[in-house]
Amino acid sequence: MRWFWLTFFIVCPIAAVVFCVIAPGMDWWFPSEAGSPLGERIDSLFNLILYIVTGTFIGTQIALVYVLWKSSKKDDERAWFSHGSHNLEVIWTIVPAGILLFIALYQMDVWAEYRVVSKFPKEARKAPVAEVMARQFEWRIRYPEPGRILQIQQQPTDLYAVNELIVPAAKPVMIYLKTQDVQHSFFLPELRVKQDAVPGQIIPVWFEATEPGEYVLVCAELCGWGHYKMGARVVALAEEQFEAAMEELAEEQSDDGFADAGDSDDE
Amino acid sequence: MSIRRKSNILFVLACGFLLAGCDAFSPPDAEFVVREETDQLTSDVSKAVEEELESSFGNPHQLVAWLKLPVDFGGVTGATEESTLEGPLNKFPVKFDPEADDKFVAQFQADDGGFNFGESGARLDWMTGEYAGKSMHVIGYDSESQQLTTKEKVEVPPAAGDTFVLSAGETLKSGRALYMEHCLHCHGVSGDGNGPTAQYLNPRPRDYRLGQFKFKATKPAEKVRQEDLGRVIKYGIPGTYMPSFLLLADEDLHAIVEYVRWLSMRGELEYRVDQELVLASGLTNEIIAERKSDGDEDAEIQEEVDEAVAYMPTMFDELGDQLAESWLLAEEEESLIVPAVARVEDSFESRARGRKFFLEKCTNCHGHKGRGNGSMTEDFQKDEETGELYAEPGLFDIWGNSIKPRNLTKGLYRGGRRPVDLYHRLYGGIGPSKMPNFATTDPKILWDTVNYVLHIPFEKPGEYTEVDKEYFESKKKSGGDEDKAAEQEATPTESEQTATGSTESSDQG
Amino acid sequence: MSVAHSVSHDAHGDAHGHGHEQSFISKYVFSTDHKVIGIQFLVTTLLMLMVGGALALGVRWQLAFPWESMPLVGRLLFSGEGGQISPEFYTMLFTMHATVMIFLVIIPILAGAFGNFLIPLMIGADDMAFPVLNMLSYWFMWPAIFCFFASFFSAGNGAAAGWTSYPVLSALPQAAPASGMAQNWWLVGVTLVGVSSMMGSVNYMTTIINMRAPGMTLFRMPLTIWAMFITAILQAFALPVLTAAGFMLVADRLLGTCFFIPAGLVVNNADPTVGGGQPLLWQHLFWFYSHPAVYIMLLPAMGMVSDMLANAARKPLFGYKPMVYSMAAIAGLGFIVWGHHMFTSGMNPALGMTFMTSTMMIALPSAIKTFNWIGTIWGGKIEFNTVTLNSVAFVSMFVVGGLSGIFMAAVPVDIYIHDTYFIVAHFHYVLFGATLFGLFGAIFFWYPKMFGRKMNEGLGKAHFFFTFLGANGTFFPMHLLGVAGMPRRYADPYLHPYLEHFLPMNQFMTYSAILMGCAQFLLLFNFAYSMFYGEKVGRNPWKANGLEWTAPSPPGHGNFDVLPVCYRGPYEYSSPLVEEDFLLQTEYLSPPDKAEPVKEPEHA
Repeated sequence: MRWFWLTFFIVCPIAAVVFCVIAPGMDWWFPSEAGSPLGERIDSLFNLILYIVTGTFIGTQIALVYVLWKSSKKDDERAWFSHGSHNLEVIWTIVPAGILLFIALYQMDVWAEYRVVSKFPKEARKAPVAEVMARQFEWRIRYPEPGRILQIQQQPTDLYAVNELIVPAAKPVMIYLKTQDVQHSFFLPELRVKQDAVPGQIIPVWFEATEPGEYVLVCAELCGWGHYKMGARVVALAEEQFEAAMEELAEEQSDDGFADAGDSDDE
Repeated sequence: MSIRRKSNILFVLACGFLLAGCDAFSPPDAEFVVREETDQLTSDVSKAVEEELESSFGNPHQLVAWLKLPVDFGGVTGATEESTLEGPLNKFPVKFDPEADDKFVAQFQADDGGFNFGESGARLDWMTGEYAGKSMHVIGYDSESQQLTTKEKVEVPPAAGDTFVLSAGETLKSGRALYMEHCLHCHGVSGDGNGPTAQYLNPRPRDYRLGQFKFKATKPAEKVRQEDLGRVIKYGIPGTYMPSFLLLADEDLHAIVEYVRWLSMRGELEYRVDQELVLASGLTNEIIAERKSDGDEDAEIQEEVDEAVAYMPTMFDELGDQLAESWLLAEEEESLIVPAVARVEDSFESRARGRKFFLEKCTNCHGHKGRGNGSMTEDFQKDEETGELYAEPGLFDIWGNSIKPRNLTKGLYRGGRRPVDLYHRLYGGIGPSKMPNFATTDPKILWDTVNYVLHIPFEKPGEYTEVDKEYFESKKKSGGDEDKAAEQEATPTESEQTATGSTESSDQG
Repeated sequence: MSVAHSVSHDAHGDAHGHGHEQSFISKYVFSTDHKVIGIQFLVTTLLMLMVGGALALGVRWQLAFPWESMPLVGRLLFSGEGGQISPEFYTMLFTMHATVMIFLVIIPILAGAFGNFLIPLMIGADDMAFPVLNMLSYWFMWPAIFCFFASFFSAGNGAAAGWTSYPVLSALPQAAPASGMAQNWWLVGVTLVGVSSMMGSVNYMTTIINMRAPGMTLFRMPLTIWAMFITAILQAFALPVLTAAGFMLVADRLLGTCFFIPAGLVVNNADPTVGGGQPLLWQHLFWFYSHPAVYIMLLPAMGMVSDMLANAARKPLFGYKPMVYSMAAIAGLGFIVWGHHMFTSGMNPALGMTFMTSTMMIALPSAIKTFNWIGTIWGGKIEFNTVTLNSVAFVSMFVVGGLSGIFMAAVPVDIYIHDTYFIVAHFHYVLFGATLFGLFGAIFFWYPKMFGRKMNEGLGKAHFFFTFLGANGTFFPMHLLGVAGMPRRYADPYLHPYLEHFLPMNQFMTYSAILMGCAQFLLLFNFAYSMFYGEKVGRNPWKANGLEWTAPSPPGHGNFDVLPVCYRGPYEYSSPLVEEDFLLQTEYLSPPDKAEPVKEPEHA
């Protein structure tokens, strides 16, 4: 049975590693390449930690199975009467500590850029593109009229949409994240953005979609029975297309249904 | 007891447990809910109603496509071509409708290039011609000669141009599956607005079974259009738990809309049948018992019952026709509310006119400041169906739910916030909520009111004081009933004059 | 059962009453004997394990066969809908799964079952410091269990705001169907469990500090006792915060206060809230307890595995003092890392940096312990029996769980993986992969002491094999799901196109979970069967060193025949001082003047 169990304990970690190696090829990995600059940095951080962790994992599992193999040999030798090794303790305290501290300090600036409002890109901060109000169970968006700045208070000229946030691509944009009722979380998996929407707070969130395209928006904080239904999309458009989309939205919103589809006044 | 004995007993117990538990592990069948009124009918009649419903609509696991109804059941449509063959035969040259060609290929073509119609064949329903209303089963197709082969043989070949639907029901089935996934837990299996989650929601989910919907673009008496239902599903109803399903693919949205309409037709059919049998024929258990105690002959009553049962298929047919007609009418141009004039430019003057109209017509429910706290919310209203007062003060919709008039200061418009949407609400009213319609009002005034309503959330205190004064004075002059209290309410209080705005930041949409 | 009275009995006082003729009720039901209480806890928690597992299978069923009829539940509760569960039912499933597993299984089985049974035996006491308090600590579990079960029968079928119960979802009854009565029951249940734990922890701390046998210095205590001791301190300091938070939440719900409810919220078209509160406050208070709680759920298993591995390898524990200091470090650091559950919550970003650093540091003592376990096996003489297998699985899977934690500790990465299945993978590896396997080993190891019989080895190995495969099959793919961005607590992730292709993987995980669930019946059967038909054993079937192995199996009232005296640490296996490969802590050896000089071990 000895060989059976030894094999068992080495095969399982090997299977785990193999599983992870084939995962990207099987589409069991990130939903896409990071679609935002900060997202790319998150991915590279993830990969760095992944390499360190995989190395540690392989090393530890091999060590474990090795000592099991050696110790399970049936011979007449007595076990090694050792209470430990001071030197080893020192080594395997300092080295992991160093690695961990390195990982911690290496990424502090990424975090700051993401979260500290004074570090947000100025252009995004000055002109938030929309207010995203999460509610049970959809995302309600409020844009300023083209040419105006978004205000905290609703304006008569504001444009409204639901479950579709249109932003300009290839530049930093900021939204105000609010919630009408319980906690939700604004999660863009492809852009690696996440921020909880806290009742009673207006939280500025910034991100940049590198390429134009459609990105998934889902809710990532339990908000009730419809938590899973809150699927929406973020549509990043090139500058002119973005402006055209806003114009279209403005037109739609002032639709008066008059047969002559002429100019309808909006104000 | 020996160990062997013990383990034998254990084994038997385990088997028994498993067998008993088997039933617990088999999936139960979903069933359409039976209306209360149907239950109240005397048993022969109610059974007949249920049977007829089952045969015309099926059950949730076995849907039946009743082709009379104007629902896109899906399936491949086409017509027969001129045939030179003589009967008895089972091969018909056909030509599929243009859009249907791809559908046919997608549904039936097998990997080897041939066509697979399943073991029992694909159902073919004839729509027109010799075999209208009859079904056959297609078991083969020859793409060269473009001939369908059916299981059944006929003497007389169908004439050229006879139309058919092959495998009707695909869209309906897909609609059903999607409905199960997205809608069932609120709207219920039967579309009765009573799914497991419904009891926790305020307002309750829509009960489709009266065939009435609140937010539509059609004239007051007409039914809702497919497009209206599509809009509701796509954009949700802000301020309620009906979320936006914007990300649904177009075909999926279409399938759901059709299924909802189908559920509505089924429900309304049952409702109308019940009305007939209860009101016109009085065939409920209660009434029959009364009649018996009054001395009516058993045989006479039984005769009426038998008559009703025999008449059931015909009644269904007739009511089905009526239903079909009303749903089709809703899709016509003439049913759509199209404003006669373009929107009046939004200006203070326009809004002032709107305000006057509002004071005239709307404040009883919506309140003098549009907060939804008008006097009718405090009075006891009469239930039109029963003729009695509701148990509680305030307003009720046609399903008996307690409802509140919209608080217009919030800027939350359930039926949509485009000017045309508000126009539709005014022109068409909201029948189920008993909001009256103003179809005969001058469209310019309606636009003025739309402008006014859209501006209410941004109203400054005292903005309309003069306007209100004017209105009440002119009323006095014309000798109208003035409501001193109303006048008081319309003037801003001191605290309001110092308030910064009436918008609450919590709602938008 | 041995009827010998221990010499220390009189010194202990007459807590047991004047005679030893006890009624059935006071002997087996309301017993104040720590061994009986320990076994009561053990049996109760094993039953709760099945309840929690069943709830988990419900979750897995929905994820593998979304909206298909759920066995049993479908027919019982949703027959009108064809057996398809409702979304709010799903929210209840995962909430109650976590609640039952954490509060009714893991914490009570570690502290209540094993802590109770082992502490007096291992330190040479004849019972706990406060036997009646001990008995109450067990019996407070039942009102808690009643409360949780009552919540199942309330509207919504049970609390459904997650085991984390974040307001505003849990604070406003109209926010979720089960946020009515069910949530109230839940809060009361959690409070009662907290009371039970507090009683236990007070008892353990006092007993360990005051009632050790002569010669049992702190650094001669087995690691199990150290772990129980440190865990008890964690409980004592952290629980009051949770209890306070729970009271505040109940007040918000029932008394109209607004600790956690801000103004202006409109939920379910109710009137806007009056507010003034802050939802984040709950998160801070809750995690201030719940982070130490996860160490409460880990440390005792770590301690027991250390004992089991040293015994299995027939050699001393590698690095006894570093192991002790590491556990203390884990506990101490455990109090300053709670914010890592809240990186995306909207709290002050500066806190993100501080919590990230402390969280990274807490990985260090765990790493040290892992290396020491490997060192313990290194050079040993190990046999693959059930105890060994489970202990090795503990180490192996703890490595996975610990390493996946590093991703989360890295704040920017946590932005992405927070509230995804990556987190679920991590905590299931540390809770199931580590703690539960450690517990399985511990059950096998100390069962002979509890019942005087050994559990069946064949069944034990079979249980281990299938459980290990099932657990890894269920939880490993969760890492990938998390990387793919699949959020937690989703009743139907396949609504979202980017997750559609994970259905087969989720089905595989469900089948593994079912395998794992069925395998537990092997354990239960083994447990029950061996009580009557297991191989009878003597006092020390494992040739171990601890004080508990000098008592009869099972120990009688008062535990020991004579007052034990402790001469050495608990890990003197394969000592050159004696011929056998174990050396009891209580064994007196004449001074070694005639013996060969012994090579000093490098680290004592």
